[in-house]
Amino acid sequence: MIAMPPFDWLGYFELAHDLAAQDKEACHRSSLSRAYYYVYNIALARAEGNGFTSIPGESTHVQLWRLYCKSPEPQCIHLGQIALRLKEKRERADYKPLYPRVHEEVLEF
Amino acid sequence: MNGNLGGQTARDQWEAARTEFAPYRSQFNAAWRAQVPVASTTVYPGQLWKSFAASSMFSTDVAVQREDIKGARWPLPSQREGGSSLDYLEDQMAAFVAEHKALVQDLRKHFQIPTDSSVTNFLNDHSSILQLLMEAKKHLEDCFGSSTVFALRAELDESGSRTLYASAIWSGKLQDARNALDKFDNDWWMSHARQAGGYLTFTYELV
Repeated sequence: MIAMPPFDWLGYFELAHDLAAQDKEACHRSSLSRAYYYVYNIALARAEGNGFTSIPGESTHVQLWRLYCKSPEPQCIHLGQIALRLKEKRERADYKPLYPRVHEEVLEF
Repeated sequence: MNGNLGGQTARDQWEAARTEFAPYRSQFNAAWRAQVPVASTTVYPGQLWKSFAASSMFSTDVAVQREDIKGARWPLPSQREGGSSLDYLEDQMAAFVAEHKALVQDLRKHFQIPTDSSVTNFLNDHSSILQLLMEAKKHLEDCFGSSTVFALRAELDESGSRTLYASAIWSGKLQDARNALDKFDNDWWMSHARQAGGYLTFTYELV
């Protein structure tokens, strides 16, 4: 069995960037989703490196962002807040039939 | 276990102890009486002492002489002077619920709340967030403008968890919304966000 290098989550961010440049709403929605999972996986790896393990019974996403939001470090709190906002946009992009001005949301990618 | 200890029953040991300490018992009781005024009408902690005295080895001498001690029992909460905090628990809970409901009503003046019970149930479970929202309102208006409408949502996510989102409903330019949110973060929210523990955040919703 060939050992594979771990996936570089930066690939999700690059994909988010590429999708944002497309002219389709589906691409814009997917762009938001990839951007969220880029942030999530980077933050999760950092948290796990510091001993974080999620408790069964509740989503790892929620537990992870609460961990950041309750951190004594202002930068971690800020990251937690940004992530919660992005999570909400990702859920709207993935599940809501109407997402007004979604193309504007992804322009900065 | 029959109470037989080394050939002596517990009763034998008890009697032996009483005999041994008998010379001192009257002195002890005199001292005890001196510390506790006989005419005291204090019910609590006086009642505690009465209960103790009625059941202790010293009760023989003291209780026989004191009619008020005979048959003393641990008082019920309703019998205690001044009562117990437990007596008022129901009243306190009712007052708390009434105050909480009044705050939620007040919150409706500043935030759009969905007609379903998602947000109100969330606020019932996280009452401290209600206070944070009330405090946030002024700062939101300072940053987003007093004419901006704010909406609360607490929908279930894929895993069944809820986070409360307070969104500025924004019809203006995207960059203006982002600038307002940055200002709100820097001026107030980042120094208070930790209190919400990740259960609340503020954002904007383009319309």
